[in-house]
Amino acid sequence: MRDLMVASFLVILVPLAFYRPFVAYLLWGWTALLIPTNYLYGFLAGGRFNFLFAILTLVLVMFGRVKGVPYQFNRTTGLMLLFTVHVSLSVLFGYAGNPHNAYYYEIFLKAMVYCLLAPLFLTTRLRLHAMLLMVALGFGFHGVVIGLKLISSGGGHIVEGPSGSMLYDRNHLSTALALALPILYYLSMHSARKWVKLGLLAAFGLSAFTIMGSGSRGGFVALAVTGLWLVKTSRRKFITLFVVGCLGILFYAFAPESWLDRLQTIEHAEEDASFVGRLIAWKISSAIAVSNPLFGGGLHAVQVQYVWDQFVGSQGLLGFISTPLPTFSAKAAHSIYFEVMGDLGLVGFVLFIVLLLNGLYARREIRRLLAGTGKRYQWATDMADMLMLSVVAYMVGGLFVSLAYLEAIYMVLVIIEMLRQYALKIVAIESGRPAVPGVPVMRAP
Amino acid sequence: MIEGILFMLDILLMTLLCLGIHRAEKAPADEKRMGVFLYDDVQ
Repeated sequence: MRDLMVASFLVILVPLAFYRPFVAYLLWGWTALLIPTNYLYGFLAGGRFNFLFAILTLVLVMFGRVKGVPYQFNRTTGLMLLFTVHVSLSVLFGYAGNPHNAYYYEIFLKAMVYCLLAPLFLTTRLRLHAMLLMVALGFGFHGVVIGLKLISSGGGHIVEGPSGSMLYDRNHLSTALALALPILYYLSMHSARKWVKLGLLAAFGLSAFTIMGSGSRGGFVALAVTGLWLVKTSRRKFITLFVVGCLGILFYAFAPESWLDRLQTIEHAEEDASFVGRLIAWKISSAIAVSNPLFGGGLHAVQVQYVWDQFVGSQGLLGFISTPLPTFSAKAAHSIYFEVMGDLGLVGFVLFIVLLLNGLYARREIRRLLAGTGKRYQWATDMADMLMLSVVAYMVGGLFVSLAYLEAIYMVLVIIEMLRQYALKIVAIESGRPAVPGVPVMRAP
Repeated sequence: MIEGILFMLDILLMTLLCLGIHRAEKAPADEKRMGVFLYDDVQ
């Protein structure tokens, strides 16, 4: 049934994608986030939809089917290109025999190509809005489905993301959903149809419920930060406080005791074996970085047993915290920061941090650029606020998970950049001078 | 069951989004033709 439905929609969407390349671009992103093959069990179960739409977009770009503004590099795409070169060199010069290199490099490279094409596509409000809807339909789907399963099972359902993907682990899924929450909230604020607004709010609530039900402490901290920030910065403080408050009360009223017990272990993290295990993984990751400061050890090198054994007992950059000698075998870095440090060296770590901070700074610039435009571009400042919150949620949740190569964070960073470019264009139109020297002032996008 | 229904709904919504973009960007461009996913304060 599902396969038949997907096949019939492909009949509509593939020709449409040929005709309008932005549709191909959107479908490329959506299939990367939704991973539809995971939900198909019939003749389309092995279908490579993501590959299909990626190739289709690239072919359309190469044959000049994407019309509009000429391609222009910007600060974020420049940084992303630099980061891509660095990751490629890390893969090349990292420890030999690392089986994780190929898997993560493919995911990362696809995400980077996708983001580097953004200046060709994300040029109007309509397209920026559609891009956020695509993220909501791709990521929000996991939050809604698992949230409903949790409710229908009375909290007994075991939270897992799509199998075989980076989101399979509940901690990874929780951080990824925390990143999607501000986007769902923005869309609910700025959709015109009432039932769409309500649907998006419901998706927001169910995704938050999924994070709480996952028992992921990192996800919970990211959720708490997102909730507090939403209340602090929202223009509609009362409604936001009401939504966040209701979610909190519902959680404490109906959550099974096992969930609350797990969350209470945050207070005694230093006594927790799982936390001590993470500290050891961080020490080894940072030791790899100190030993290979330029290019690191390669993607997820810390998980390669012989690399782990080489550095086991090293203190890395965390010598001031005492930990016992590990009794377990190689494990993941369990933090985006230490993951990048070990994989890409100190240089790669700096590039990664600059990329994230650039996203936060872009929000500030957008607000400053549009400060004098009144309520007309309120949507743009709201979008900038929420995208920045997505980055913050990722940075907080990412303290405890290895999700540095998650496609969605790079998508969010490039959307903020394209919103900044849009704001620059608006300012140029209002003042009657070109935003980019040599490019004439065009009509309001 | 829940998963199957929501999966098909998700595909349907994505299709509506793609069709909406196509309609809104067609000459003459008109954002109001975006359909169900129209955003607020369209001029």
